[in-house]
Amino acid sequence: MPESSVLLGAAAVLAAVLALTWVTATGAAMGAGRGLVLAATDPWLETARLLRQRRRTTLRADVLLWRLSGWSLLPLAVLLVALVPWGPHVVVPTELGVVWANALDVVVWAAVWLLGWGANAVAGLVGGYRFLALALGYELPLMFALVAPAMAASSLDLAMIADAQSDLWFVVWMPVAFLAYLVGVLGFALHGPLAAPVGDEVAGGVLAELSGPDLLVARAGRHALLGAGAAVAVPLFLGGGSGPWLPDPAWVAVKAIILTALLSYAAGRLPRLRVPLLLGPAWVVLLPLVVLQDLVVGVVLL
Amino acid sequence: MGLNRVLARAATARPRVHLVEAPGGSPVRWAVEDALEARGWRRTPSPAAADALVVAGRLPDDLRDAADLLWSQLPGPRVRRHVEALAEVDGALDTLPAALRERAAHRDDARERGGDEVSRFLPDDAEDGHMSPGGVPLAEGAEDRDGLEMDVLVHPLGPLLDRWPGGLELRLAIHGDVVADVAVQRAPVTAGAGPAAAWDAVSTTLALAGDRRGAAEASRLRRHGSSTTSADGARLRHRLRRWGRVGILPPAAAGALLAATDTSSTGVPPTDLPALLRGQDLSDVRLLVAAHAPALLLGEAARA
Repeated sequence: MPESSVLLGAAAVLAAVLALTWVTATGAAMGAGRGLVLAATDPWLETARLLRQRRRTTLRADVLLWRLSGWSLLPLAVLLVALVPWGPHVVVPTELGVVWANALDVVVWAAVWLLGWGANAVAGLVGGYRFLALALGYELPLMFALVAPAMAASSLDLAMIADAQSDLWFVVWMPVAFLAYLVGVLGFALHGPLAAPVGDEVAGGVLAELSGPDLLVARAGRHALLGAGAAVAVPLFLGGGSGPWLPDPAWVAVKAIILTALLSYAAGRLPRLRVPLLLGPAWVVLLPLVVLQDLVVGVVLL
Repeated sequence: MGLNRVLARAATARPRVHLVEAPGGSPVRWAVEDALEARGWRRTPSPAAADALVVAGRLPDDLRDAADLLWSQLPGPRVRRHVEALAEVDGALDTLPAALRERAAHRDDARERGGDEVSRFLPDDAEDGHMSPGGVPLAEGAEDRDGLEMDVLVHPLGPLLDRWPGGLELRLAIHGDVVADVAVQRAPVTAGAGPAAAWDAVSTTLALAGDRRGAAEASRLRRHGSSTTSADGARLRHRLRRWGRVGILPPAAAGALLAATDTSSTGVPPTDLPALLRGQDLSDVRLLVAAHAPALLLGEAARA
């Protein structure tokens, strides 16, 4: 690939992450009942506010791990978006896109737990524990959900999976896998019903001790992860770049933004699930349903 | 300079407020909440990311240290407001953005603070040593409810805390995030029973549970008091019943809120807080205390 197109691709990925972050922040605030104008301008004013705010630390904080984990959420979202095929163009061409996406979402485990641990304070630690309980709940259904489109396309390459949907989008005949995938996205983005690790009832949990730019990047990272998760769903379930009139990359962007807006609005609208309720529904209800979905996909392919 | 001015204006256009209630400060807190809502400003759940600390109600002398500790956790630029009367609310908030833009004052404030503000709030006998790194004693062990050895953390809640009855101070012993023991160090002074206090408890609890729309609806009912139609109240009570059933709220919290907002009942029985909280998850403590806030005073009154 020539150098200029690599730069162009990187710029496009960064712009996409920025746009998706803003859409998520706005959508979630509107879901929580904030008016459109306030919700749409809040992210910009908050950015200015937090850039001007001083950094703080806590007594005996594990500063290295604390800062490292907070600042890694946004790069993780950028890497996820870089995996998304924009029609014929892929910024990071790989035959193992599904595996990479899954690996990146597992890195979020470490990042969120260390963010809670690093502050050496009760609220953060409780938030970190809660995230582990939550992650156990959403991760297995998420992994089995990723199996379904990969099986149907007989490939782990996101571009191949997108191409395999030229007749019928996978979301149509894999609705359960799609739903489990979206639950997983809410989980690793710490949003909506699965926001227990950052809940107000634990004073903000893993975010409780952060201020200034540290809080800005951690919060933006959360929003960006939701948008990135939605963007990866486009080649997995929503037919990639296929669509009339517009060129492929435009369709990918449109689908990603619409899904991000809907998902973040729903997330803002729903109350948080309490921690004891997280694991039960995820494993007793969702997991068997997703495995059944995989079975259905397998039988159809026979 | 022009760009700096524009950025400072944007940064202070909607300050984030950490709002806490002093004993007996509920009516002032309601007024502050309404004023924040009218301006489109939001609150922070912890002091760490707040621009302003607002204490609603008259702060008694023995809580001055607690307010100072909270104040020391604001990163700065920071502004502090003590609002003691309803008439002071608008004035206190309207001056916030300009106060946050006074660069020289904030630079001096930052210089005076120094690095270590926490140590003076640690117990006097604390020393930095092998058993107490940084002056904080190591956790001791004890058996948890399943009979496993767990670290015990002593975690104070209150007396000044976000969405918390004014002046209530609890000392919790926690295993992980499970409450092993509760001691009430200081009794709160709340607004007491009555429709306004009941709807305020609903609003606070729903906000803590992440149901912002329900919380806003309950605040509206609190504001308009008896003039609201019962249809709105009934809809919200239906919501509480549903959240209690599916477990968004602990059943005890939903039950307490339904009892407090029930116009046909004569009152809410006082609550034995320690017995209620023992064995609960730390986050449920916040929900349960918020939901039982109207009944706490009855408990006090019964004792007095």
